[in-house]
Amino acid sequence: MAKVIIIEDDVEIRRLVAEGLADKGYDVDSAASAMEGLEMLVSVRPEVVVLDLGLPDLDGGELLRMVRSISDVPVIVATARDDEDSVVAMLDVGADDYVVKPFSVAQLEARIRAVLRRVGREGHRAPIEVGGLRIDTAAREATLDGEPLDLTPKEFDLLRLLAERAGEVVSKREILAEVWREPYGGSERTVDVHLSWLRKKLGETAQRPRYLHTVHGVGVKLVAPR
Amino acid sequence: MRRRLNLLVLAVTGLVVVSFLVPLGALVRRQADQQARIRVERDVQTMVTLITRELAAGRSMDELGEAVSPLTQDVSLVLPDGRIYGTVEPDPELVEAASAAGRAQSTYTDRGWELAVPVLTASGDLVVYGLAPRESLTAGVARAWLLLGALGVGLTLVALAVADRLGRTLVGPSRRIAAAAHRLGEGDLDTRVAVEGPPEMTEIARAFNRLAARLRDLLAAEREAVADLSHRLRTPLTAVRLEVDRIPDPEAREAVVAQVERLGRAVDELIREARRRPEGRPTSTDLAQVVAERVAFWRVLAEEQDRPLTYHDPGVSVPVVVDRSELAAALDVLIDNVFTHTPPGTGLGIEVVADPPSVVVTDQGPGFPEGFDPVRRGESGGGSTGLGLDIARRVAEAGGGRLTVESPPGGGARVRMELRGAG
Repeated sequence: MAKVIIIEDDVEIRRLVAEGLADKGYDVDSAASAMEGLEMLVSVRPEVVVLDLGLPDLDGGELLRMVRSISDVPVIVATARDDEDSVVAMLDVGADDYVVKPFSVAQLEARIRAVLRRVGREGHRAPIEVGGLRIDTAAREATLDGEPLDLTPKEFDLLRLLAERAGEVVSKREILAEVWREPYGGSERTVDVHLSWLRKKLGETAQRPRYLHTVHGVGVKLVAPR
Repeated sequence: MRRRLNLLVLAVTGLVVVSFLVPLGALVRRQADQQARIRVERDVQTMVTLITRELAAGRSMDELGEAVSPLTQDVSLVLPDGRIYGTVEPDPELVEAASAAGRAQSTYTDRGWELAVPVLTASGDLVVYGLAPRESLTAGVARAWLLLGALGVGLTLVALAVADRLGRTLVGPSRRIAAAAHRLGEGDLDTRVAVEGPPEMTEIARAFNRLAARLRDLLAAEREAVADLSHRLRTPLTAVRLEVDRIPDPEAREAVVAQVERLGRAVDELIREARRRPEGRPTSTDLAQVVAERVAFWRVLAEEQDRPLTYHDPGVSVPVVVDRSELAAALDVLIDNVFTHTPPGTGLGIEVVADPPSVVVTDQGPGFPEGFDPVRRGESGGGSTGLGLDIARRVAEAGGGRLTVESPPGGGARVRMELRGAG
């Protein structure tokens, strides 16, 4: 299984995450500080890094930049800050994904699987292609038939999620959990309105869908138009 | 303060000027009087000397009168037989008195100051009479007094001008400090005052600037602490959440997970509250603009669901005291509610009113259930997420406004969010 390192200063969380992931079959190493983590990054050569942003010795964003300067490894950020600005800022400096505290091992593992899927075995993030849709997850850019799409961060995440699971019906609850990271709910109307915008930007309507198909009572799926 | 200073200076200067000018005025008057008298005395004396010399030279009385008469001015010669030579009419009483007494007599009368000097000869007494006319006694006094008065007024004005200028250097800085204190009170923590004026004022200005800097630092520290709060609270909560996963009994695990999630919600709420408070300057947001943005955002979904969406714009900006992103979130809740609780195709209307600043969301849905109370937390009609209108209510009340819901007679629901106007 994949090799993961956890950079986390809280000893309990470090232990629990390491044990939880090890139980699920991951090869886990952990570091208690940014410096230790950087050394481990070089010596262990992990496939995924789980990085806590509240480290005592270095600002998380700073560490992320340093990681990016030496490695292309996927980084999942564990953050206590869930406001959109902080999240977008983290993604901008090179985080691949994030979990908001408090999280469960299952949630973290879902993120790990998602980034591994995205990155692929070759170690670089291949763009996702569905029909004429092309989603560059590393650059956070999407094009439709070669034309760039002007998407908000949430719209991009929504499109990426649906594209990653193209052909599969994804429920709105799941979308709320994955894109909005609303661990305790949130409104499904939020998903609806973002889907409407996405449809509009993809140049289609709910009545005449091409890529985005609503499955009533279940959820929504993204498929390549026939 | 400036006016009082000016009054004080006016009183002091006035007193000083009066106490100097009045004796000075009296002195001037006496001086003029004395000079006029001395001139007459001198003329009379000259005449007496002349007469004595002429008589000694053996002149007759008549010759004497003829000789002296062209020389006289304000002086007359009265011969023993009562004949008078000269231009002024002598005062017979005074002439008589001088002649009788055998020595010079003087007196003030209506005509002025009069002097009569007798010259005793063998053929009877001659009297030389002189008059300092009344106007000569006060000659130049009026002008001198006018000059003195002007000088006094001038001095007072100069003193006032200096005092006013001094007052301004006192009052100006204190006014500026007061204005800065008002700005600080309104939340402008970067406000500072120029350190200038008299020493006490510069000291106050320095103290004020230190106070403002300290306030800013404290608030910055509090903001920092709040940012840190999410980390401090959510990290141990994460440990608990992770530990819960290890509970083997699924039923017990679910129960604890539910409790942890409840705790998580409480922590979220706490952090949100804490973030709200230390905001320095109360932000002024244009209600009309934010509503227009949110309407544009939701319109796409409304069109998709065939919901007629009408928006009434007041046509002017409606500044309100509320954080922009919170206002947007509250509006989203109000609009979301209509989408959640009414079937597709149901129309909704959104209206912004300028006075009192408020936004009204109406729909043609089934209306609110009987006994619905938006003030109670977690209650928002049928099966939604729980927070519902509570968020909107909190935002409205945080800005000093209120949220009211009603079911109009024609059916449907109406939610009205009133906010505190800015400026």
